[in-house]
Amino acid sequence: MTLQFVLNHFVYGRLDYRQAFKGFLKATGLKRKINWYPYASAAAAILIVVFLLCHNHNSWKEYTAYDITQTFTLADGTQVTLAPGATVSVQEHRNPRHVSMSGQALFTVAKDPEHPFVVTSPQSRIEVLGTVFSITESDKITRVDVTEGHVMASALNGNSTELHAGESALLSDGFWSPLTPSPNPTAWATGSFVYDAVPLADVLNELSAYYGKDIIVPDTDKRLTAEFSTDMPLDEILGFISLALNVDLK
Amino acid sequence: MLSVNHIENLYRLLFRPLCLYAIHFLEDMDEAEDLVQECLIAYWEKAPEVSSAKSYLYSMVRNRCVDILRKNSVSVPLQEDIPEQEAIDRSEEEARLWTAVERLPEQRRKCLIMAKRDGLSYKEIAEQLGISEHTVRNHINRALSSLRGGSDKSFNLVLSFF
Repeated sequence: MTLQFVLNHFVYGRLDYRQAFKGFLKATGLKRKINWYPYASAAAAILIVVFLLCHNHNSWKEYTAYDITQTFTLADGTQVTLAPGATVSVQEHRNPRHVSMSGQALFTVAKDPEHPFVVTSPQSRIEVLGTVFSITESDKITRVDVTEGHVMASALNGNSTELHAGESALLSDGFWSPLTPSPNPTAWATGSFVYDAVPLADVLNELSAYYGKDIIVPDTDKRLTAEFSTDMPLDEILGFISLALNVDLK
Repeated sequence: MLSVNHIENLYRLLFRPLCLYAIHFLEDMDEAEDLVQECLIAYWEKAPEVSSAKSYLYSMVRNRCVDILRKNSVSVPLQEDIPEQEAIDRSEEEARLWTAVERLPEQRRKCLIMAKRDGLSYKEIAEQLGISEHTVRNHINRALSSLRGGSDKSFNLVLSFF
């Protein structure tokens, strides 16, 4: 029925957000012109200078993920994946390799040895050259998971720690403490859990943390090789695992 | 003020589903597109502090649709009397299907639309496109199966035993 509704109304090329967004710019652009109108008597050159100054002062560009996880490419080629509610801001014209962020973000930093890439959050400063890492920042804690390369993570009080690929650390009360790495710290961004002969206990601990549900870990040394989408309900994943490894997960 | 980037994201994520949502009320694509456009502009102008831009926009679109129907003394279509969240989910699914139809190979898409929207017979489609009836049937079957296949949540599962 849903499909028939779509087909009944379908016209190729219509309901295109790009077209609509152009219309939006046109409509709101008119507004801006109206705002400038009182200045129209001033010399055009002055207007242009004023515009450029304003433009420079407001050149913070903000990327925000609203209801879904989204990936953005920054001016220097760095990719940022943001969890819903996360924001990064960057001054593209002034300092393209310095971003500030809040929430949960995965950075795949474009390599540029001359210019370190720096991420600041309200509690920390992370400096890298070219690497993949994610930051989860909330009121009290900052968590850093490094997938590739290495980073230098500092708290605002100067305490710092160097993290290499596969390492994770938690910043709490101004101190960094190492975390037992989980197999897929960036599952929220990649949309999948990938396990390659991972001990069942590690798998279940990760799933338990991700879904926020308690799972009783059976006493076994079985290992799992599997791939699941994060869209799958936990029950379904556990069903597959118990079937595959012949374990009871209740 | 809301950044242009923020607004562009709202367009990217919400324009199509919001339009489809409005079409359920107005049954007219032009009117629906205009109305959604107006709502997004109004949202930008007001920049209200809301926890979810999405639910805010859906209710704005809904209210304006109902206003238009009232003004024209048309009652809200009965089938629209479903829970808000269900209607939103439905619009998102429709937007997904719309995109899937748009991405079908051209000939396959044409056959599907001529058959299912315009109600032409396979024979009429075959004549208009200069292809055989058999090919028309193939195109439509493939189009439908790819559209239906896509609606299942897909996941990869590779399991091995230790």
